[in-house]
Amino acid sequence: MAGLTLRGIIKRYVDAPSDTLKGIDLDILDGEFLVLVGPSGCGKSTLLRIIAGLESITTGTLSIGDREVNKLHPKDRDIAMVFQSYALYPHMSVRRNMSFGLEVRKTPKAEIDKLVDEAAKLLGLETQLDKLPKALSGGQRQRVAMGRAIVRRPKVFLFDEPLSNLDAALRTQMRVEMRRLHRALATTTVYVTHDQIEAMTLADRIAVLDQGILQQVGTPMTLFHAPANRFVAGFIGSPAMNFLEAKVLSKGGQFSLELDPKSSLVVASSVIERAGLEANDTVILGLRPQDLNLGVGTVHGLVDVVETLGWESHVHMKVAGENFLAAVETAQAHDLRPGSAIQLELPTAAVHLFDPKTGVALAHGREPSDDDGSKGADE
Amino acid sequence: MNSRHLLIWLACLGLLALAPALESTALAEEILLWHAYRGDEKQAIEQVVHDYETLTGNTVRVLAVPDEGYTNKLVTAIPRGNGPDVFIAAHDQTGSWSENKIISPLGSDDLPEALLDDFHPQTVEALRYKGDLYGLPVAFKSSVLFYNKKLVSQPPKDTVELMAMVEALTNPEAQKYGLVYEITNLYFHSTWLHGFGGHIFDPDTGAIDLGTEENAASFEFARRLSVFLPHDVDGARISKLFNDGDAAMVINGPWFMAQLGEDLDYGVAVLPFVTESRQWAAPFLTAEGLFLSSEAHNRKASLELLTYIACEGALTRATLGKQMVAYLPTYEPGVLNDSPAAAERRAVFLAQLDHVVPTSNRPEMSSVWAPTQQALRKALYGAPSGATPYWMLVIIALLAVGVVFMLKAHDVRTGLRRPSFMLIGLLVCASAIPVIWHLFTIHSDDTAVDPLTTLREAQTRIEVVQAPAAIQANPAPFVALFGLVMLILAGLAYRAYQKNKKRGVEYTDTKVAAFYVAPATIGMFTLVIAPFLVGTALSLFSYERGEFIFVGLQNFARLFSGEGTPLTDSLSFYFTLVVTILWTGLNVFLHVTIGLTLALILREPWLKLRGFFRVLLIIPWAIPNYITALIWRGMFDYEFGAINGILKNIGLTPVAWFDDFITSFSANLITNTWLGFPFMMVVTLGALQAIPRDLEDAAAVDGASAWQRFRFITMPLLKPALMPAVVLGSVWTFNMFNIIYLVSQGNPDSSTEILISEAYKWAFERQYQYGYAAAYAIIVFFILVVYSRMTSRILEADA
Ligand SMILES: Nc1ncnc2c1ncn2[C@@H]1O[C@H](COP(=O)(O)OP(=O)(O)OP(=O)(O)O)[C@@H](O)[C@H]1O
Ligand SMILES: [Mg+2]
Repeated sequence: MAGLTLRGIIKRYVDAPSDTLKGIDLDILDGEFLVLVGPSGCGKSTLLRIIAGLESITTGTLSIGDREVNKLHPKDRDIAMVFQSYALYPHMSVRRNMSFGLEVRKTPKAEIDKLVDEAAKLLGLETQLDKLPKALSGGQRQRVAMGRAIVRRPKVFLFDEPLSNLDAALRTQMRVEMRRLHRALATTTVYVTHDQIEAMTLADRIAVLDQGILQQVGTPMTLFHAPANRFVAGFIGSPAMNFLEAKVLSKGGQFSLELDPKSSLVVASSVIERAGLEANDTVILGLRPQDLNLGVGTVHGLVDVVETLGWESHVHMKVAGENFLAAVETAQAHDLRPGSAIQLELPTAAVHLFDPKTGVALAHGREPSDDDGSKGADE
Repeated sequence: MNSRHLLIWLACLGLLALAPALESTALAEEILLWHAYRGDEKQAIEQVVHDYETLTGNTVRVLAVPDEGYTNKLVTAIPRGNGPDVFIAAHDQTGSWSENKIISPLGSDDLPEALLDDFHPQTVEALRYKGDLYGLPVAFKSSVLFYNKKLVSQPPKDTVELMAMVEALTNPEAQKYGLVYEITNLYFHSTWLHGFGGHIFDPDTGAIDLGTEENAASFEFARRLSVFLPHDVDGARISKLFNDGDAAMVINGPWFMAQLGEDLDYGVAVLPFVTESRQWAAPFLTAEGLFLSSEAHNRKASLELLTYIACEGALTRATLGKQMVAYLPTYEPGVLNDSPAAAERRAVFLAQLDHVVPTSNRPEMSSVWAPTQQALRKALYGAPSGATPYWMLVIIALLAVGVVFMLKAHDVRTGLRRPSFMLIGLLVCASAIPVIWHLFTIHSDDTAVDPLTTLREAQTRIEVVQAPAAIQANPAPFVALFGLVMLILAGLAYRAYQKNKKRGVEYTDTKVAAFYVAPATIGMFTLVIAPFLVGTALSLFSYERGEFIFVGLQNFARLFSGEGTPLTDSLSFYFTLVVTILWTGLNVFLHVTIGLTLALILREPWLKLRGFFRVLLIIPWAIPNYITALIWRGMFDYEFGAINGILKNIGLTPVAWFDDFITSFSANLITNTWLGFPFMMVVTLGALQAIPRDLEDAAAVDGASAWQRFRFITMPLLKPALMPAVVLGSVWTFNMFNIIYLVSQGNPDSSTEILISEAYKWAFERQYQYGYAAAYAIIVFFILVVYSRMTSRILEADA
């Protein structure tokens, strides 16, 4: 078992016009479960491959434990990886796919059989062990890929979207298995996913990557309540945060944010001060769709589309000419019709303020308290 | 519409069939003359024919046939009535043509007896076979001694002088040689053979008689000379050496003059007196004769043309064609106005004519050349061991079995480990070491062999090579068998038809279907089935004196008896079979290993200029293989080849590549590997592209070493694409005639011959034993059928 230390990692592919990773500094603690998220093409797989040793590092250093491993061959790193493409060996049975890594490491036969059977049971693959990968469904293949990684008991796990092809039920089940496994083995894990729920529920910490730059690393709650910038704010949380441009108005020590001549909202001066804003400054106001009330308030909106998802409904509307989404209980949205005007209340505690030019977070309505660092009761 | 197309088709076919008929009716009116001349001689003969046409009003069609395969063309064209009426050719095939009824003797009513007195008697003698005269001599050729006047003031008069001069003028380090000629070529060696009183045929009995003291003495003399001569030189090298002033003397024929530079100051001299035997050195004489085809349409006109060219045409041929004509009146004073130098040379060639022996024109002579030359080679440079290929096969088999065991010690499919297999494999491989040692020792004592022994061996080989007297067999059982096979085939076809009918396959519109498959069927039949049937039938016949005699399975019996020679004799079928297996196995192994290695390297992302290398490596494949073969042949040249050049430069001794089985075989192998790896590389590259890189990455992360990744991941995935290529490659290699024929030419002693090139030798270099050659071809066919069936079984089992 070992932690991972990444220092100033820059990766440029041969013939690529620019760096794919632009200086990654990251400490992953021993036994930590780090979830790596980011839009497609941001370099997540690249980072995993670098950790695995499958790609060379252009500059920077990578250490596993205290040992610098920049030049260490993948086979000597004792890492297990689940590839985005599964990379199952097509000519080997499921059993042998899983046992291959143990076999080349000269594990005794009896132990191999035991480990493989355990993993197969865990992943629901008992009946598939003698099939070839081509005879499996996408989801089954993905589980075999998982199995291949977990039988090995390595120092570090690297998962590249391991559950993306499973159906919702299986995914939930596997997610729980993942947590259980992690609790049992406490192996340092880097886990790439596009799934918000996976990210929020599995992670000790989440790292958000965009265009090869690490945007923020923190606990799920930190990222949710105190995103470091507009990108993280927009990326974490589903549905995504609303952003509106606003002007700061000051009337006798009372600060308010004007969205358009008709709509404005009053904000606590402490928030404006924390943000270092003055009257007439422009600012980006961020609000999560769940954090607002319909029916009363100082902001005017125009209903566009209402999507009913069950107990929750998404109300798409225009506020100050911008798209705006509210997620409310279905009961509240019941009599809304497209085209109807509506009043909104935006609570001060829920606002996030961002610099319009750099996107850096200036202030959050509610400052993170210490207990945000702990994980929610997800088990 | 269909029927109209069909009509057009039929009309085309009809026209095609008519074309030869139209041609032959046109021919009947004129005399057809074939020759193989080029350059001045071609011009001269055309001039002579033109003169003849103006004189007589007859028309003559002259066809210059390329030199290669000229005689084969005559032998095949004349019996079919497509040949010439009159042709010009060297005299040495007279016997064979006479036996095969290609040519017709000139009787006393054909020619006035006195006419013959005008030709040099040796040249007339050359054209006689079993007492009959078969042609008029046109020109003659024999070797003389060429010398560079700058280096040699006075040509040697006798062999003692010659030997002293050769010794004095030779300095191999500086590539200076006193004398250069193709020392292992019997044509040139005949000079000494006759000079020492030797002969090839016993003058009394007419039987081949090589094992004589005199012949041995001539070999001994050649051995003494060989110390000072460059090794394995060919005509082109010789003329280069002489032109460059690096060779003081050369033994060569009149054609050599055409290769010499204008400003080279050289002389020619009669070959020296042999002091040892007190006789004149006497090279072979080749007389070019005008022959009358046995199928000549207009005998009288043909004879007239024949005589005209030989006599009246002689002057034109001598002046314009620069020929040494056989018609003596040409040399009377004042007839020719040569330059003094040319006149001097002509005089020497004429003088040499008093000390020549016409090359025997008996059919058996064609089988004398190779064994005698081989004997000479052995006497000069040593003998290869006939057991070598067998030992090599043993070594390779041991290594292969050992490696298979070692690989099976960790099974790819199941991952099963069997440590005992590793041990067995190692032991089996280790057991090859003593065999390698043995092979090494039998090769290190490879010294020149006593001439008399080699000559006696040659004598035996020649007797073996002679076609045994054909015994007429009863064709009835074979015809019955053939009929039976046909019946069974018809039955099978009918059953398939019935079965399909039952399954509801409807045979409507069969005409259209037949029309569509017709071109392919015709093509298959004419290009594959018919030749195959003819070949099969041919293997049941013996070709003798122009006739095919049905002999049943005698050819096969002779083949499987290995010619009655020991297995270590290169004439034995089994010897050739082993060499062929070695050849195929080693080639394919090298092609695959090299191709695979290069493909794996070319795939690496760190390799710059990948596209460039890819193209570069495919080039050997893109060049016609005979050109590559000839280039390699040149590179393996003992004296001047690039490879020995490199060896010499790095301080190693040069290798006489074609003197020993292993080196000669290696030369072939290297050449064919050069030709063969690009194909495997391209196939592998394509197959590699289909293997996701992730698989190997996954294996690397799993902890597999580079070798394990290759063995357990890459190789099994490549196999399905590679195996068909391997099968194809082995079939090609098995029949890779060009390389053997052009690079080692079977040397030494036919030992590097493979089945297909051996078949060629039987057909065309050993008295046209077509039936026997066909039997070889049939065996090759069956071996390949069995091989490809076996491999496809294995492939199916694997899939
Ligand atoms: N071998 C390569 N050579 C050149 N560029 C590459 C290579 N592999 C990836 N890239 C580029 O690097 C960038 C990051 O790729 P990467 O696969 O790491 O993205 P990702 O974050 O995993 O995306 P996704 O979520 O879609 O899997 C992409 O722009 C991609 O085009
Ligand atoms: Mg990816």
